[in-house]
Amino acid sequence: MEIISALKDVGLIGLGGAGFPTWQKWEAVKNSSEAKRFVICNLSEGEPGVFKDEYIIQNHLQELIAGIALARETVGAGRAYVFLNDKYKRYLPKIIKETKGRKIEVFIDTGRYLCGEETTLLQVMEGKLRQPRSKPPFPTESGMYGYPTLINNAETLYRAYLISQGQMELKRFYSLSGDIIDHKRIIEEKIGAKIKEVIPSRYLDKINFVRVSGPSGFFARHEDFEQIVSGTGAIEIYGRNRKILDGLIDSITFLKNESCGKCTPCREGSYRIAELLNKLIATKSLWDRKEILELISTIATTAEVSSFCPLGASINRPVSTVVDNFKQEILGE
Amino acid sequence: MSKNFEIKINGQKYKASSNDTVLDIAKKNNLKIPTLCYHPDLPAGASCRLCLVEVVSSKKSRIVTACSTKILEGMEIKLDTPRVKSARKINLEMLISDHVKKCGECNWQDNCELKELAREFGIKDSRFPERRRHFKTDAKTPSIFWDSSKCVECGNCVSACSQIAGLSNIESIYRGHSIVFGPVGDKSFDDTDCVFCGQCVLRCPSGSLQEKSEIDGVEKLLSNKKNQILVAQFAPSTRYSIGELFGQPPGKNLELKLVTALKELGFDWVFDVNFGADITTMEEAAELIERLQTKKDEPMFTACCPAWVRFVETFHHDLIPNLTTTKSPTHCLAPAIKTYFAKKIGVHPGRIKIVEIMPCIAKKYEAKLPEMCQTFNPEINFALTVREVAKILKNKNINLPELDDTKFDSPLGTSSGAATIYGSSGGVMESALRTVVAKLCNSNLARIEFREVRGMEGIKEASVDVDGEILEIAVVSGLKNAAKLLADIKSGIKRYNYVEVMACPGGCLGGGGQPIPTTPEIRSMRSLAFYTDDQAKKVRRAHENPDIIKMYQGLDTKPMGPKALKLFHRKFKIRKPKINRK
Repeated sequence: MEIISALKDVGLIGLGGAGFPTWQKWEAVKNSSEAKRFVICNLSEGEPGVFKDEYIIQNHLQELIAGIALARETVGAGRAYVFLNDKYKRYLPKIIKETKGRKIEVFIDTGRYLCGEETTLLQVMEGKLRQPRSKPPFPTESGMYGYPTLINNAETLYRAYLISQGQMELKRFYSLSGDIIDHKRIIEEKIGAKIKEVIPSRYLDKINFVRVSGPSGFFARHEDFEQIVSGTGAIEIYGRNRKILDGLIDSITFLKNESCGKCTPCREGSYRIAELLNKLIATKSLWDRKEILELISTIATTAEVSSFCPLGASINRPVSTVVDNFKQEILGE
Repeated sequence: MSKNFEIKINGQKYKASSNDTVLDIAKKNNLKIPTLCYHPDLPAGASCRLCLVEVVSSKKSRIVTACSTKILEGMEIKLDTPRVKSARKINLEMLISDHVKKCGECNWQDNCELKELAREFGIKDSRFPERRRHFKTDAKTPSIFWDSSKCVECGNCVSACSQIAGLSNIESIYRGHSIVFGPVGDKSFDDTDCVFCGQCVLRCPSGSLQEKSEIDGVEKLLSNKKNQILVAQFAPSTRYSIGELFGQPPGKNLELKLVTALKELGFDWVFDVNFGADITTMEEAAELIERLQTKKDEPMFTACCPAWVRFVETFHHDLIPNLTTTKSPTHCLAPAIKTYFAKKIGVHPGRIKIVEIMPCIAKKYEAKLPEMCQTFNPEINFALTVREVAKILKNKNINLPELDDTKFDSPLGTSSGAATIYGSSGGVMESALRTVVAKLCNSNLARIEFREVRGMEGIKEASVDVDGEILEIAVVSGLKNAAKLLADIKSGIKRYNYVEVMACPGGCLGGGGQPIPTTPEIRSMRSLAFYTDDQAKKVRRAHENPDIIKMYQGLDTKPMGPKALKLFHRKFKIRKPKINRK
C-alpha cells in the first residue's frame, strides 16, 4: 500500500508537539515542483519532562533510521539530516553506524527549546540568527535554503516506519517524570490517551497536580485527569506538598530563558510575567493579588494573540489553565 | 504576478493588489495603523508587534501584524477591535518600560514615535517598573554614539547594516529575554568595520544609535570667541532638508535663511560648500581627462563620500589607486578659505576656525583624519549634522523659516548649477561630465544635462559620447550595491571609465546626518529640488564660475597644478578589516 495514504488512513499526527497531520506534510513535499528537496529528522528534544526521542535512540534506532530513509525516498529528497541535540552526542557513533550509505547526515546543535519550531531549526542549520521566520511560506514549500523540506519529529518518523510495516494500531510514547517517580519512565499508550490512563494508578493519590506537555503545556488536578495528553506527551508530577505557583514559575522561567528575543510579547511578556509571579507570592493583600493575577492574564493573552511564532503564543497555555482552574487556590492561599 | 481585487477594511471596500501588505493598503487610503519598527526601506521585521490588526479570512478571525501580512482575496480587516487595542497597548507599555528615557539628548526629541504612541494609547503611568537590562555607551569613534539602555530591540540597525551597507557590524548581543543590539562582540564600533554611513542611525526608532554630538564644542567656540575668526560652511543637500526640522516640506531651499541664522549665532563668515563642490569638479575633471589619456587605473572612482573611501580602504586595497585623489567639496573649500581668503582679508590662517554642516556622520570622522590635516591641522574644527544645527538653533529660539534672507559671503559663496546637484546620487558624475565634455569637445554648446545618471535607482549605467569617444560610466548609491558592482568589475563582467559611489541611498540627500525620518518619498522630494534649482542657474558648469576662475588666479595655480595638488588632493591609507569574515 502506498505509504502516504496509509499515514492518512491511520491518522498519524506530528508527535513533536504541534500535532499537524503527517501525511499532509509528506504529500506537500512530494508534489512540489522543485526538484531539490530535503528531509530533516528533528531530534532536538530539549524541554524538561520529555525524553521519548532518547528512548527511541536507545531502543529503536534501526526503525527510526528506516523511517528517515522511507521519508527521504517517499518525498524524493536527495539527502536527509538528523538534527541531533548536543546532549545526545554520546549516541553519535551508534547513529553514524546505522546511517552509513543511506544518504543521511547528522547535524549537532545545542538544541534549545526553540529548535522545536521548524523555521528556527532551519535558521540554525543555515547558520543564521537563531530566530523564527515568517510563515507562510511553510518549510514544505520553502525550507532549507529555500527548497521544500520535510521536517518531522523523530518519533513521527519511527511511527511512520511501523505503519509502513503494517502496524495499524496508533500508539505513542508518553514520558512520565516528577516528584514521586524514582526513575524517568516511558509508557507506550494509544495516541490521545487520557491523563488517568497514562499515569499508573498506584501514583494517583500522591499527586497534587501534573504538568502536561512541558512548560508550554497545561496544568491539571485530579478532576481534570479526563483530559487528553497532547503535545509532546510529557507528564510531570507535582507531589502533595507542591503549590501551583511553583509549577507556573517553572514554566514561565523556562519560556523566558528560551525566548529568542525577537518579538515584544514573548520577550518582554515572559519577563514581566515571571516578575509579577514573584510579586504575587510576596503580596499579602487579596485585592492586590487579584489585580496582579489579572495583569498576568492580560499579558499572557497578548502573547497568545500577537507573538511572532507559536512558542511565544504558548505562554498563555500554562497561565490560562492556572488562572481558570486554580484561581481559588492562588487567591485563597 | 499580482492580482487586483477588493477587500474590506472596517466594513468599507478598498481596492488592493496581492502584492500589497495590509499596512500598504492602510497607508494608501490614509487609515492609521500604529507602527514602530516598520521602515519602508527595510524588509518587515515584524518584531515590535504594535501594528496589530484583526483579519477575517475564510471565516477564521486572527490577529496579525499589518506590516508583514499580504493581502488575500476576500480578506476582511478590522483595525481597532478591543482585542487588538488591548494587545497593542500591553506591547507598547512593555516596550516603553524597557526604554530608558533620556529624551533631552535624543535625535527624536521633537517627533518621538514612542512618546506619540503613548499619548495616542493613553498610557499615563506604565504598570511595569523600568527595566534596565544593559547599560553601555560607546563614543569611541568620531561618528557614532551608541547607548544600549535606550534600545527597544527592534533589530532595524542589523537590517540596515546588512540590507543597505551590505556589512555586518551590528548584531544581537546576548540572546533571549536579555537581547540587545549593538556593535559586534559587545565592544565598540571602533572594533568593527563600520564605515560610518549612519544608515542604522536613521532607522533606529529609539535613539539608541545617534551621531556623536559636537554641539557642546561648537557652543563653546561661539561663546568663547576671543580673536578667532569663525567660519561656517554648509553642504549642498543640507539647505533642502533642514526645513523639515522646522515644519517645512522636504526640498524647500532655505540656504539664505540658514546664512542669516548662522550669522545670528555668531559666525563671522558663512561660505557655501557648493563653491567647494566646484573646486572638486575642476580637480576631478582634470584628473579624469588625464586618466582617460594615460589609461591608467581605470575605472576612476569618486572619493567625496568618506564612508565609501573607508569601505575601499578596508575591503578593497587593490582599488585604492583607482580612487580620485581629489578631496571632497568641504575639504576643498576649507584650504581655499585658509589660503586664498585669509590672504585677502589679511589674517593668519591659524586664527580661522571652521564649522561644517553636513548631511553626514562620516564627515565627523573625515574631519579628524590625519590625511585631511596635512596642510592645516585641523582643516575643519567641527562637523555638525543637519540635526545638530537645528538643535542649536532651537536652543537659541531661532525659528529658521521666519528669518530674513542674507546672501553668502563673497568671494567663496557663488557656485554653478553643477554644484547644486552634488547632494543627489549622480550629481558628482554629472558635474564632472559637464566640464569634461565641454573641455574635450572644445565647445560651449556641449551637453549640459545627463539625465541618464539621475534618479533613485541603486545602480545606474550609461555610455556617454565625448567627442566621438564612448565613455562608460556607472553611478551607485548604497554600499551593498557598490559591493555588487565591484564584484562585477573585478570579475571582468563590467568595464567602466568612471564610477561614482555614494554610501547612502540616493546620495547625500539620504545621508546619515539628515533629518529623521528619511523615507523613499522624502528622498525623492529632496532630490527634485536640486534639479529644479540647477535648471534656474545661469552658470551651470563649474569651470564657468567666475569666482572659481578668480580663485585659481589668486592662488596662482591651475587644476592639478602643484599648489592645487597640495591643497585639494589627499592620500589614502590601507586599513585592515577588524572582524574576521568568511
